[in-house]
Amino acid sequence: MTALETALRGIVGSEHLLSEPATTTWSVDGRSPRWVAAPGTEEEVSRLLALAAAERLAVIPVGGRTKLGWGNPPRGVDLVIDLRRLDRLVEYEPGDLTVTLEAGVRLGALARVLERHGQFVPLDPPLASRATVGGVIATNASGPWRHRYGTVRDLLLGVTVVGADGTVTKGGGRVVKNVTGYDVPKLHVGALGSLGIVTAATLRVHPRPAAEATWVFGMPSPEAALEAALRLLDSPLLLQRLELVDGPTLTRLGVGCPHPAGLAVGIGSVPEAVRAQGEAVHAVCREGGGVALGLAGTGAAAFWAGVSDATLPEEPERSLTLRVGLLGTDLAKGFRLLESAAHERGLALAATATLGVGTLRARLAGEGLADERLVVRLREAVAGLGGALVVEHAPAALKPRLDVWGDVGPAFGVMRRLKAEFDPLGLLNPGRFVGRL
Amino acid sequence: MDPRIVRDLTRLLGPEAVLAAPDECLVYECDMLTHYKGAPDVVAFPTTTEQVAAVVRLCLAEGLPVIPRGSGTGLIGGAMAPRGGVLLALNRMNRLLEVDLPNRLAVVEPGLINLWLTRAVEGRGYLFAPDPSSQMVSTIGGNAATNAGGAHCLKYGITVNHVLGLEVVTGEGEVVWLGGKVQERIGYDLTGVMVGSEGTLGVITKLVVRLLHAAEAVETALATFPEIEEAAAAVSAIIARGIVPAALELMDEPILRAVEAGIKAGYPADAKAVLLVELDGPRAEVEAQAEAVAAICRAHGALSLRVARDEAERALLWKGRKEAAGAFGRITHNYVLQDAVVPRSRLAQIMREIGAIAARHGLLVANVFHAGDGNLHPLICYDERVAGEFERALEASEAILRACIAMGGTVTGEHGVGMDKASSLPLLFSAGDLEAMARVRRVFDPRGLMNPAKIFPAAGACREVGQGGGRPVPEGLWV
Repeated sequence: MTALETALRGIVGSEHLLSEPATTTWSVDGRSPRWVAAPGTEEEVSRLLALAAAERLAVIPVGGRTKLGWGNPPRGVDLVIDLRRLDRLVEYEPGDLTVTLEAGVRLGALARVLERHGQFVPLDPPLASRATVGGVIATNASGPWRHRYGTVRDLLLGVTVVGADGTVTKGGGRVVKNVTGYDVPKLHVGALGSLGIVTAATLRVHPRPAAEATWVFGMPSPEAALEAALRLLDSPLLLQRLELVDGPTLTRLGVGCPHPAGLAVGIGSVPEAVRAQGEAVHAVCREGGGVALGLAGTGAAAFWAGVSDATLPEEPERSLTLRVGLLGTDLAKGFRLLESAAHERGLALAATATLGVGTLRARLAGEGLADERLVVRLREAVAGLGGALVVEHAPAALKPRLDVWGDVGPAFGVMRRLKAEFDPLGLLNPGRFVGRL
Repeated sequence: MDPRIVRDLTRLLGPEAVLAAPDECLVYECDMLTHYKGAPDVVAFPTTTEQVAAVVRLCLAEGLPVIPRGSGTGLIGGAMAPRGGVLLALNRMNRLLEVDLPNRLAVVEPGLINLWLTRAVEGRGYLFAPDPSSQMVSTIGGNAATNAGGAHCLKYGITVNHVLGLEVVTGEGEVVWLGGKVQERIGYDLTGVMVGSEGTLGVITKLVVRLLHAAEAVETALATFPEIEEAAAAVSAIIARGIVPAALELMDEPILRAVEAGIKAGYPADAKAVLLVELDGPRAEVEAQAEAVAAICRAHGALSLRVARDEAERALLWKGRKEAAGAFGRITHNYVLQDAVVPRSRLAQIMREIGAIAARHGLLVANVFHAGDGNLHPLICYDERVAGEFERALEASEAILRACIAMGGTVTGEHGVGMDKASSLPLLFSAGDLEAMARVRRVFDPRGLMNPAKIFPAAGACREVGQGGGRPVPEGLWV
């Protein structure tokens, strides 16, 4: 055993350190780490990072590993830090509508605690029950609830962060209103752990509405679905979720949909308001040529989880998954771009779109995905609409030939300086973030 | 000031856009917290991003501070020039550049008055949600720079939740877009860091902001209570019940007296506390929640409950709240204003604590605040003609701040740091925490010329902890 491995064992304990060859199941973009350490406290994370800095180890923090395919291939994979043992609820006072918890807490576990008090954290990224709070912060992953509640960016009040040199700092606070200095927590949202490892966070929680309902409409076309959605948005209706889902995907989710596109609408409020708004939603969708479809017997919760997961790479080597950001009004065009790309190459398309936000998620599945021109051409077309395209998953043969993030534009200069300030040795998720930072 | 620099600025902006006479610059020596004074050497009125960038580059070359300023309604010693330099008055960059209702966004210049944006879109059923009490005069650029709050941020979030993108001139003189109309972001959330940075990272020259559709129904009600603690407990109970009103504002007896004496809002004179509750949303939801709120208020001993019958009455109830701090100037010679926050379940406790602190210091402390957020604005009254009262008021202000932090609260909820609270930051943040902020500063503004002497405690200023935060404020301000 090397001295370095002895030092790692000394920090987390032998039972919480894996070394080769046991680390093969922890590979990142096909590369096995030399070690996987599972620290149990913030202090252990701090000591691990201090050691990693001293030894120049490339560090990959992980949580539920539900989004490990995100980002460019790392330049190095020495030490994976598995944060799931940091799973304590630090403070939860329901009357404050805030919760402070460690980064390894899974959203599913958090939901079970909050629901006892009629509250919830409205985060529904893919594989939400397994995803950890820290992972959702690092990726800013979202789902249909984003329509009403925003992303974790809008819920994050404070963080504890272990910096690249092991220094522990705090940013933000535990109250819902706070402008004391810079909003440091925002730096870490969607930063893929490239500026530090978030070990604890305070989140805003919301009261769960007394009544919720979900309706699904088959629509004659994606354009008609968008048109109806824009009418719903241009009204005082208060929707919780508003998703475009392609017809075949709806059918797979158990909502038999003979139409090319569907519109899924969720409303949460008091029962009377849910009823009244539901009637208005039906009227708008009917006028747009929509047909109300029956929700499967599994119920609304399972349906929405299915929507969140609809574009996951089920067969990793035969799947390309994309996240496309557009103006909401361009989403039907975005859908058509993907559809014709899929048609041209004989790929199967699954797509969902959060209409009020402008996020389109898609999976293209089939053979012949190793050619990067597909992504390049789609990205150009999306850029032509003023949007951006991120590859969330690509087959192993394709990924090294792409920049999964695409060009971030002139602000990249600031981002590069930010990375250099916070991680001067370039050890945190090296190469994985935008511009291969 | 070197006349050469004034000539250069005049060449860049034109003679109508540069003030350099000391008496003219004096107008810009403070924001609405007049305790802190520092006149700029020059005031420049750019009209384009290119002009802002040119001025910033000139200042970088000359080593001069750059201070962006909107309407100067801040309460922190923010938009003023303690180290001189060039003050960029952004008021002429006040155009509404684009309204895109299908995508529910607008593109504006920083000098646009907050309320003007809502006025421009309300006819079509939309609004800009951030509504600081100063919204009829404060600018959207200033709101973003300070991450302004407002009465309705309880439900709708603060300014940062409504800014999608910013064009900025950084302290390196670069012009960059952070974020934009498309909400999906790639890379670091620099928009989120720039909002609330008080001009210390750069100058905002354009904003993409979110517009919201107005609610179907609004109900504004006013409940009176025999004790402030009861009213505070009612607030906690409403939140705990899962009701998030659009606004939940509390005023205590001294404030009520001042408001009635001043603008005659129709508040009953016998009550010790008034709770203003505004519910909005789908009609059926508002009706159901209004019943629940009324029941909670009655259970907490409410003396009366009045619902505004029409828009005029609603506006009057709000006028009293929005101008309360200004009206208060009528009944006290001087006061120190705090802006602290406690967790919402601690409201009754902090009210008792503030009462005890007031009694201990022999001073009147009045309270008008965003109760639903736990965001307090105690006004600590004193008479500057009485020896020692000002010092006692500062001590009381400091004691209140410390009590809030001890309950898990924070140093400033919505006003910001500026010069006023820079020395209080160490109450909340360690040297390491502040170093993380300093790193952000270096990324955007390595020379430290963007609005210097704000936010960061001055080197060696730690000994001042215990005196910072809360200085006397003049009549007519908005909190």
